[in-house]
Amino acid sequence: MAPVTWAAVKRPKDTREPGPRPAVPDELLERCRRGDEAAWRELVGATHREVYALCLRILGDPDDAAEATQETFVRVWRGLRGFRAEAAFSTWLYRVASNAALTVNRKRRRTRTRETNDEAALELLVAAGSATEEVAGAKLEVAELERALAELAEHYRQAVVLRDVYGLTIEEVAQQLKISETAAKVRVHRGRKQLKERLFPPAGS
Amino acid sequence: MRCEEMAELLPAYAVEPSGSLAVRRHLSRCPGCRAELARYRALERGLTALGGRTVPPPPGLLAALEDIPRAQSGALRQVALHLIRKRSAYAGGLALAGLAAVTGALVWRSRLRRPAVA
Repeated sequence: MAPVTWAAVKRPKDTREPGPRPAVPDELLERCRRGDEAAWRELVGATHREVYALCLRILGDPDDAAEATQETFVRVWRGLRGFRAEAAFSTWLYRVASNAALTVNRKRRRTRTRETNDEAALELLVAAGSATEEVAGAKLEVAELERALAELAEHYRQAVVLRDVYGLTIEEVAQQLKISETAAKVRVHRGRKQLKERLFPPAGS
Repeated sequence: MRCEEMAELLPAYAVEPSGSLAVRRHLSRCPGCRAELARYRALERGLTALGGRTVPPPPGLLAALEDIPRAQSGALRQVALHLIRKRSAYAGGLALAGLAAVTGALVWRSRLRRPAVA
């Protein structure tokens, strides 16, 4: 069976393109496999921002995201020898990162408070600056979107981030979150609805 | 089809438009649902665009990540040392247990040979 990749999101009716992924040359990976520390620094330098952003969007907390990013790269360092280029490196890296983020999330779930989401929203707000995406005749501030996403309930946010930001299929979302496909569909559906309500509140509310 | 039913279909329809004639017919007649669809499409495009955006990591994180090979080899060395120490401890324990067994056997044998006191 062909390996499932994140790029598999492009089903016939789904016309969205996944966001750009960091390109990592095979030669760099080979040097990393041989234990070349300079190559490792190069690899980390080229990919850590994307990994941190993914972890922050899943976890909604900057400290947890930093921890998940470290865990991701530890797993990458240990797993590089076993990595075969059947899927793109970035696909594998993002899968490892989302797994690490969800592991950190399970460890921290009991102690999380609402405040942390506000911090994350603030961090994302600063990072996003004043960029604006003009789409379908409606202007969406990137910062506003990041904030709405960070404020979403954790289980909806994880599903929406994996499905709509990083382009996993419903089947993959269900696998990553260890829930049924029906539950994954429901979470994505409700998450989208709540996001839309936050970003485009009904007139007069 | 009523607008309430459309409201449940639009989040998915915005991403994967279905071929349902009833949905398309309703959309062609209902400006409110068309506007709602445009909002969901805006949301989806915004979310997809986020995938290509990064967030500045906290200071110090990059240095910690760069140091992983050394930290990992240090950790491996610690594990190896720990195992070596444990192996020495196990060997010492076994030797002591063996010595105790031999001593015990000798004492028991010497008692057996001792003549009974009348």
